[in-house]
Amino acid sequence: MTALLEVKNLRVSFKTNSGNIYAVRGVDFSLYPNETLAIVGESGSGKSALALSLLRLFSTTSVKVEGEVLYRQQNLLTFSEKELGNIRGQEIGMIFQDPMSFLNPTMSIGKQIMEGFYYRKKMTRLAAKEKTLELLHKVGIPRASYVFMQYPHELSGGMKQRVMLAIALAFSPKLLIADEPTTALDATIQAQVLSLLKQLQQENGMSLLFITHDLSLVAGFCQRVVVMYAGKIVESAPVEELFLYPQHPYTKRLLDARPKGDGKLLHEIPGMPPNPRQPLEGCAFLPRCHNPLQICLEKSPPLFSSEEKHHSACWHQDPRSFV
Amino acid sequence: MPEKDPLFLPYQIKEKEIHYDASLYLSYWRSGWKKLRANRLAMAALFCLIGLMLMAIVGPMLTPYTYYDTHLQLKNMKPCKMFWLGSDELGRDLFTRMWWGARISLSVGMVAAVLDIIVGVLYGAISGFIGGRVDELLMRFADILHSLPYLLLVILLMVILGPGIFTMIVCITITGWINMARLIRGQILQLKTTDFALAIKALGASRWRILLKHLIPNTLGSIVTMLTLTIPTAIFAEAFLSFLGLGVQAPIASLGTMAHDGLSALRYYPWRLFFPAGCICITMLCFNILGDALRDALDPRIHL
Amino acid sequence: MNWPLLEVKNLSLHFMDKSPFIKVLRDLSFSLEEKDILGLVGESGCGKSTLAKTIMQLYIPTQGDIVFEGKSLIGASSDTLKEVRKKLQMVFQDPLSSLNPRMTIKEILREPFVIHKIYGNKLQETERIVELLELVGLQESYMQAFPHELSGGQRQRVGIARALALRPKLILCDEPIAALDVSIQAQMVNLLRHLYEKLQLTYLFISHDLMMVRHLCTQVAVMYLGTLVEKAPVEELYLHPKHPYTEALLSLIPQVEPLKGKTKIHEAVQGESPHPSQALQGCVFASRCPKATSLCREKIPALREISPKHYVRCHLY
Repeated sequence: MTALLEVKNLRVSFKTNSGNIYAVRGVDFSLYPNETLAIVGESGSGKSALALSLLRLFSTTSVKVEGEVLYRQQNLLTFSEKELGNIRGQEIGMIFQDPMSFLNPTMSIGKQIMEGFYYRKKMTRLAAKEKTLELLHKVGIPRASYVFMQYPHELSGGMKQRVMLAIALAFSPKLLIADEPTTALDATIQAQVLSLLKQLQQENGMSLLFITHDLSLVAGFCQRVVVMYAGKIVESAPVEELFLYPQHPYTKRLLDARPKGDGKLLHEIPGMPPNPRQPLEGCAFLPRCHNPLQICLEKSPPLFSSEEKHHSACWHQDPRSFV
Repeated sequence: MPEKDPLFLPYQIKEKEIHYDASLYLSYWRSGWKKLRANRLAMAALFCLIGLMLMAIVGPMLTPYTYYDTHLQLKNMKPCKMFWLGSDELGRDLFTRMWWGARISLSVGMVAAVLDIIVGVLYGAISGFIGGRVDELLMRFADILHSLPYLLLVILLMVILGPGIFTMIVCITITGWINMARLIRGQILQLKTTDFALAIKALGASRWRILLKHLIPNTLGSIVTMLTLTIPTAIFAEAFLSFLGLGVQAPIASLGTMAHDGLSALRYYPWRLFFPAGCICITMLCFNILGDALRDALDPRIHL
Repeated sequence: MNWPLLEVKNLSLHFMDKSPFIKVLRDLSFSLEEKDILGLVGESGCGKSTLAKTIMQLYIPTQGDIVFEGKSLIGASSDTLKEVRKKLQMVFQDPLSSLNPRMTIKEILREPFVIHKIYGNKLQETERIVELLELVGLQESYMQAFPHELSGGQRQRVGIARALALRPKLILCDEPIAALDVSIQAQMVNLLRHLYEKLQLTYLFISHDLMMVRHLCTQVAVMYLGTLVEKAPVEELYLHPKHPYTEALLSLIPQVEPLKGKTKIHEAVQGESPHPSQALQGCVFASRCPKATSLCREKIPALREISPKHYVRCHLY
């Protein structure tokens, strides 16, 4: 089966007044049709930069994106703005963490969604309105015709997120990128939105790229997980594999750091996430690792495969480290 | 048994404590200065201004004349070896008079601008900080003052206080502070809701302390930018008033009075207008360029 | 100590500037003993942050009383309040906005001493500042840094250090770990625990992370729409929740074992919470409660103690 999206050696760096920020330092992964892939990482891991680089949605020009982003075997990074414009929203949709900055505060909800139908598909006003109401209903918004006329600031966080979802799904994209869509939401609303995402993914036969910092969310939600740290992928595995047999020390510590209800001190991860301004030598996780090897100081580990589809970037996976 | 590759032996992390490394980050001001330095036009404007100010200080000393020495036989001369910029209708050296005038104009402009800033910041900050009815009252008063016809006000003040430098400073200051006040009020309104303002309040700080030590320093970026843009406005206001005859009295020269005198001689001795007017223009241009560049430089969102 | 450290009595806070006015806090009552760690959970809009700020006297309540160490804070003289501030401090959610971006860490930590005129001389101040930094695990060299130069976790440590400066007895922590990376959260919670034991503190720990609350706290209170709906010792609440809302919240704790992954939503959490400005009759949770009866929609239930120290506000009990 051919991959819907293939990312090869993606590198993203920003130029600032005080030097360069190496946000993404060489990332490879593939996403297949009808699959949900989670990308998990914390601040400095580069996951947001990665998400934005796929459709080149950066708001600044001082960013450099290198590598290949193959969507249906075509490299999106070589597309012109116009060609990309056809992909965005139609083939690949995206939703973000903060719906307020995504929605136009001066336009009513209905108008914002209708715009797309009106201009892109050249539908009549009436047909566009019908389709919009259908969409709003599909994302679980009650009283769609009332919400149609409301403005973004009148809606709650959960509702805005649903509207954003509606806009993203308007043209039935094959791939949906969700960049921390539930981080700003309450637990109860988060559950609703996640369940909705899963339902829509299955109904539409879409692939979903779900980016989050919360490892516990992905269980029961995705098929595969990719863990990022300091701009690189440190582990990638099917979801059960990852939770039952984590290989990379970071993943292990992350899973271990959650409270287990035994009242003892939590197993914290010492140190801090690395600073993306500093170029790295050796393994980025070294200062926080409890079992480093000599080589970790000098070279950054590549991804080693242990089982089918379970890879981790740790020198302990290198056969030379076994006795 | 094959030996393990030495690279794969355990490594002892030396307990390196993470110390604060000042070299990694630039402070707000240093970053702003760096951005400013990269803007060549702004740097040119800055040097020009420094040059102008130096000339205003030393210019009159470079010639053997004072600004009021008359040489009635040598009136209306073109720029020559004796009078570097020519002489006016009373034979006074234009070079000396221009830099003397520049002194007056620049100092009046800067003093007025600084006063504007002080009054504006305090007024706006207090209004924004207290909020509610007081804020509304204060702002409405400012609005009313702003809408009064400026010249009438000026003439009224001239009549009451008599002409002179002091009066002129009052005139320029009286309405110039309003923009600053509005700007600062807006910022304070937003700043007073931030967590750190609440935290300081929770520590038991008095309201004055919160305002003066915590909130206002966070508006310094806007203040500095506004200052560089208020100065040319003040300088122009002075020139304007002097041009109308409402400013300093003869024989004291300011760039405005010189422009006034030069205007009547425009047809025959155009340099008498061009030099002082040119000086005003260049000064204002440089301040404006610098102010614009500063605004961008001090905005943390704009990168090189 | 005979009396509880903190007592909140029938506290109500209404924001009057909009119409209809917003009832942010509705008739809240609870108490906090010394050495308690009271976890306060609830969703956004339930008023838990506002409650903390009201206790800190940053908002003036419309009704009700707050009693700290036996002294009422409402209507207290400003001198009394200033004294109280030394013993009652707060740690904020967003470490970046809670520190003055224009001041160095040293200046930030000096503020409490300057405001309360402690220590008079610079040497003693600096000594105490170094002591505070050590307490929270930061090196002395960080004194000259500015907040934006530190990482989120480090900034939060500074926030904690500032709260500790005046040797308080009670610290209100408003979602102190929510803005931090997952890998740092454990560090922060361990630090809070460590300080609790070392300095004999009492905490009000506001969080939406139910697992952390269970780990750290001794008592837990659940809020919904400005009302206290349940309060109990920690294990009691997690094992035997009584209020339907509590049950719903607990069902949403993500299960880490994927084999038990939950995708079905608990019935109670359909729909959204009503806007706080809407006039409500009866129980605040009635509109979403699967067990609501007509009584629930008409009459506000009273807060009852159904077993030792376990309080519920629900008509079912």
